[in-house]
Amino acid sequence: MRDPAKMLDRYRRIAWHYRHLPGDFGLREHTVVLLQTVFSGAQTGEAAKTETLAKLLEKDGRNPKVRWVSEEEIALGSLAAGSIKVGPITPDFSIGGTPMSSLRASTLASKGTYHLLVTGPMHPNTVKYKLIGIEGHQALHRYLVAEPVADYVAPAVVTPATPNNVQVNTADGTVQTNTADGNVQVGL
Amino acid sequence: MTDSLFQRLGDMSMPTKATDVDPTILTLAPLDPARDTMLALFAAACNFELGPAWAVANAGTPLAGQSVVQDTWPGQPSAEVVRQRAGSFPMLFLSRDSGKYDDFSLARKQLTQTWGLHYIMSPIDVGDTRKLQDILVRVGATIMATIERKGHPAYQNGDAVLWSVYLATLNITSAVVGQAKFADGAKDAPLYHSLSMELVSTEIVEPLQGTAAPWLGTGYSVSTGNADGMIQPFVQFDSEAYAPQLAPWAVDSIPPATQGNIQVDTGTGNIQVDPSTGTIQVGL
Repeated sequence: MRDPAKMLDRYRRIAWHYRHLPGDFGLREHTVVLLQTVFSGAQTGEAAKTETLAKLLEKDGRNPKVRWVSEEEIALGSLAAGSIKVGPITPDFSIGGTPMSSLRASTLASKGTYHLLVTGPMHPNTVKYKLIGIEGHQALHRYLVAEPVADYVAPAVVTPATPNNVQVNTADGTVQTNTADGNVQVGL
Repeated sequence: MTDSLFQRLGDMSMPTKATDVDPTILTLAPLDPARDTMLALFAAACNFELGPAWAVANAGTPLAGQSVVQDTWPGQPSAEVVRQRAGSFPMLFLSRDSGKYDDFSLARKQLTQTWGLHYIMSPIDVGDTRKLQDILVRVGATIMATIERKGHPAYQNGDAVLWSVYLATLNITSAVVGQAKFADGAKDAPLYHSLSMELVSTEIVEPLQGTAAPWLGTGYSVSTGNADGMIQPFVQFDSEAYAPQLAPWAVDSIPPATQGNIQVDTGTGNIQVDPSTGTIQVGL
């Protein structure tokens, strides 16, 4: 008797081994990066931000297909002009693929943000997209639907200032650090 | 800064300085202190007042372990926010919507501001709706009571913070309990149970001390006449004299403690009350 789980794994393996071929021939020009951003402040956008970038790749590190949806799809799907569809993306299986949790950013901390970064002939300077939907109901491929948000700017190295006069009370006395002049005073 | 605008609209002070931005937060949010204060106040009040009952009822629902207000956002509850930001529900949103600048008096302007306040739960099934839906109307009632008190003991020691951010008036004008979608009309979008309220506030312009002398008032005297002489004054009127803004709605604010001695001069002699000792002396 066939084991459905093993059969599914086998079919996904087949898709994985052939889906990257256009990329091998240089026909997948757009790279897609899954971008998760978390902020050290109390609210989204506050204080220092930390970005985690993960490229969305098929076998051998090839880019997935990215296509700009047609006007008809925009009208029927209530999508914004410039919307894209990324995929087919091979779901995860025993030796490869991309898990749904990565596509959904399931582990993203509360108040963090999630975007796709698209770079290629259409967006030489990289554009940030927001995820509109995931087509995940088919066993052998997933699709991401996304709308453009803004140009992407890599985070500048801006570290929030440390408040002046940080006091640490140690067992042998108070240590006071004045960040304005760098002085450290002990035993105040 | 020598040439600039020196005035305050509500709690928005001019001129704006680089030091207005907190270097540890790095946002322009401090330029509008009223909004973030209101949002934090309402969230604290709802969690304090409704939290215990909510924690009992939400067991076994998708909202178990969440506070009455688990998350806040200082903006509108748009699809833009929900699709880009990992939010936690229930969530409280507060945004400045439409506003109108007009005259508070002859000399002073005011901003009449409409606010959108939205309290949104996550999608829940019909059974959990029966369990939790009544939180919506109670959130509205709690916020109304908090506005009347100008503060809440759960936020900044109960200080009248709505007075501190110079909201001359703040009232709830409407509240609608219902369901909302975040997907711009998409038919397959889940329904979120929500409370949508409209608030209206008034923020009044006040002059601030700048490099020039502050405006105190203006007198007008209009005369008429010809070569034979002047008839004056023909018309005479004065603007109002500037006085520090009062908060007529803050009737329940606690006056500062009286320091030192209080003397009351009666017809028969002085009465002195010493609050530190409780001593009353008559006929001094």
